[in-house]
Amino acid sequence: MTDLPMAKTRPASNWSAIWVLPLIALLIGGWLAWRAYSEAGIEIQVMFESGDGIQAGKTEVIYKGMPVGKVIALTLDRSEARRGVIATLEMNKEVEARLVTGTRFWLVKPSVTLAGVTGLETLVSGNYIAVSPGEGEPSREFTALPEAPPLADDVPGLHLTLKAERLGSLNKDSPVFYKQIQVGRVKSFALAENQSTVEVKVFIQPEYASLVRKHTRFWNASGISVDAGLSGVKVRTESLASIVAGGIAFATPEHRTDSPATDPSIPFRLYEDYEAAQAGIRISLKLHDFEGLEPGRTPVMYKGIQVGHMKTFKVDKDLSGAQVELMLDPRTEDYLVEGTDFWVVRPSISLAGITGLEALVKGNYIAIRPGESGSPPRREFEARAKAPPLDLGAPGLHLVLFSDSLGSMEVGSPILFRQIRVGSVQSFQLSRDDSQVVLGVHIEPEYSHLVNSSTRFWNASGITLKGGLSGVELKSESLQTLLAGGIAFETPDPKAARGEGRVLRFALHADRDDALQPGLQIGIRVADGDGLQPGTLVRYKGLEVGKVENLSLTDDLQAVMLNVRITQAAEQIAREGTRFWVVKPELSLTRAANLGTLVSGQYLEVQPAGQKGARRTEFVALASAPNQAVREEGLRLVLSAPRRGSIKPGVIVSYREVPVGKVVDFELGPTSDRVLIHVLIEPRYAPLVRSGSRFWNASGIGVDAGLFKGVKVRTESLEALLEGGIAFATPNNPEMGGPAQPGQTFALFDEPQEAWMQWAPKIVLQQ
Amino acid sequence: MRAIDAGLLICHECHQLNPVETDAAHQYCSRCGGQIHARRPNSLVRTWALLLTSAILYIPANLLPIMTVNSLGKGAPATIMGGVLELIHFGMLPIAAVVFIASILVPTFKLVGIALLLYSVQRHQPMSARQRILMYRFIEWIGRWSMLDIFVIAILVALVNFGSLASIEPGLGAAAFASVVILTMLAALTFDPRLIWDNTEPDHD
Repeated sequence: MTDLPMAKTRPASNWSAIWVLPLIALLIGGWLAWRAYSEAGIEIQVMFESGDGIQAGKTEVIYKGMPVGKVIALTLDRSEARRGVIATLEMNKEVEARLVTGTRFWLVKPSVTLAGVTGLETLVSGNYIAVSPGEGEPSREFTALPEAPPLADDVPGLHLTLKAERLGSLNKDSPVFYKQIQVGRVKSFALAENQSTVEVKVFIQPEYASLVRKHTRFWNASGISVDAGLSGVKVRTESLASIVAGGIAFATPEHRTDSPATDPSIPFRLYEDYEAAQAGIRISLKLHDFEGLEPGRTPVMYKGIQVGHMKTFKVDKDLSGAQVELMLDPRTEDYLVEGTDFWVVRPSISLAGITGLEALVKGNYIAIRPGESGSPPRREFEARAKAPPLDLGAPGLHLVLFSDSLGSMEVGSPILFRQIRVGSVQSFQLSRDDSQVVLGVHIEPEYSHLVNSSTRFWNASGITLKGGLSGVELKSESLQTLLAGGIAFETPDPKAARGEGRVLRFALHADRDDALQPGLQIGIRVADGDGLQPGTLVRYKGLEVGKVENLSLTDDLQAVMLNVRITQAAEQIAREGTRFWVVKPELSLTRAANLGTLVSGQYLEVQPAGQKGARRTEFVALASAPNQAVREEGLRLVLSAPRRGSIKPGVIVSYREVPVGKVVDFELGPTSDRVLIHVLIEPRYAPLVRSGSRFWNASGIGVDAGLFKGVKVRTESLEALLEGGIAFATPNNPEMGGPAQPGQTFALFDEPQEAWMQWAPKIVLQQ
Repeated sequence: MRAIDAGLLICHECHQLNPVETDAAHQYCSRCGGQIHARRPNSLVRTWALLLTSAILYIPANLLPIMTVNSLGKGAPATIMGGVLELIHFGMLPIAAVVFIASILVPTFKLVGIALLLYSVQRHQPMSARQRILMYRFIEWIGRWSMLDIFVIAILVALVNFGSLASIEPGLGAAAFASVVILTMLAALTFDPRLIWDNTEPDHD
């Protein structure tokens, strides 16, 4: 049995195809396991100050919006030194290389602060841990930052440092605006090393980096700036966000558009506000009068445009003035030179008008008049007491007027030509010897041709009232000048030469008449000035030919000197032989003459010289009117009387009670024993006078009384009774004698004889 | 006394009792023509294989997220147990219990139950035939209910699909879980309960 071949036994295969299934499952499971292993995170530990807001298994680690890990456990730190919470983070494998000592972790929570809303996405997704890669040795233990780290300096874009006085409401991540577009944000802020300023680090996004130039100005755009004044309310804010969050805005001044690109290493100044950023040039100004000025509010104006404002204000120790600091627009830089004037404008209401009306509304302001561009620059000035006169360089005509008094003139008083305003008074001051007022006057360019050497200026201020019994003359140039004062001028000869010199000089006359009197000035000496006054007329044949301008005593006080301007026929009058006398009203019992002067006032009568004599300007007035009859035609006779009686010049000489002549004059005879009465017989009646003629005094009343003849009253005529008079009779033909010779002397009898009355010669009168 | 001892075979399909044809390699049902075996061939082996497969797949089914709920752009993948914990966290204990039972307890019970069944059948463990058949019946009955999770996921994936606002995506864990459920059901199917009686025989012999 032993040779029986042993059955070759082969283990029956109980292999079943069904075992493929577990194999496949194993494969799948293995693959899944391998994948789980290969994708399994790296556990790291991050220490947080507190576990607030961190949830194990939930809180993710997010880098650039991508989840890269997850908190898997949260444990308290038990070590003594560090009291915190240790979060175990499972990080994705692909970030393993980034898990180095420089890597920073921090928790992002939704935070709504004044600086802005951050981490808003965490409201939906929950808090997360942000990670920022760094450099260093591989590490598995980290300490979380308390807050998000500032932006790294190597992020593309512009990293700037701003120096500010105060931080304001700025905060990390406060926006940076350019034209209200957010172009960057605040990275961080810190006290400067000297602890006097705040250094704010700012990041500007790369696409906006070119907006920052060398002359760019940054200002704190936080909050609202409300600037309210009488001129209106100005509310300024960069954006609604900046009201809440604070922010920084910047701009490059328009006149610096060519500004070169900035150097990020040089810090910028962060101005308090927009206004401060605009202002650039600080200048100091000494003010003597600082009423109504307010630092920060008072503007500096140039021709109504604000070019700056007052920054600070400090009253001097002796209270006599103030030192102010002005912040001026950088554009004014070229004009802040020697010769630039500053003054305070305040509203002034005077008869000269209202000036500085805008200051009434806006408050007082400081006006500036730039000096000439190119002069040496200055930063310290002293304010003028009042507005400066117009610069001599300004276009137009600059004149100097000399006047005795200023009148109601003021700076700004108008210069009128035919009542059109053509210029203004720019300044006034006393002349060097203090005897006159010197007015600086500017004529606007388009009217400058109106002034030439023949131009006469007069003070048009106020009212001229010239009154006399002949009427009242009221004159005023215009209501405006009446109140405000003003100067008027006329140019009689438009073609006259312009005159020499850069600044023309003129006299300022008191009024128009004064200014325009063309005539000739003469002096007349009168014994007394009674009834004479400036304005007393000089007449010739009833026409006004001149006027007394003023009166003065002669040096010896014996007489009065009249300064008379002869305006008509001056050439003929101002000559040797011309006579002047004063015409006064004459009123006596017998006669009233020149009664017109009672009303119109006295005047001077002139008797021009008969023939052309030498020129003369000094005259002596006659005591009375020269005898007109002297030169009249007729027979001149002289009557000799023991006394004058009521005879006076002009008394009628009558023949048969017909006036045929008149008394011309009377005088004492050479030996004083007789009165010589000059008589003029009209030429027609000259033949009546014969050598035998008898003259008698016909004045008065002859009363012839007798017992038997009663009373006989006789008078020549009622006129003669009043005025007096002379009568004469010529004997009958045989005794009449020859014709009287001119100048022949007759006796003047006191009364006629009866016989004389009977005489009735026939005499042929001249035809 | 078993059917096989009486020379009878039962048809799987129509439950017709057929006499044993000892010669034939394959015997077919005299009524419905379906193939009949005295005992399912390789029943134990197949059941073991399926059971092992499902046991292997049971690991990723529980470790991998079964679905990802995306809401407002943020998605959090959730495993079965994570979901249960979340439900507990939110205080929805009954639902958590349902999910736990359907998704954790039942599959685990099935796996363990089938394994126990197989082991006791194979190794003649002192487990009464009555206990075994009870367990088998329970496993077979409960099998379909453990599909609850997959069913819920399928409905949710179909219903919750609002683009980026909210959506639910099935995860790999769901596939594994579905496989586990299917495989355990297949395992229960391939297990021939008649083996329960076979193995009890020697005890009574």
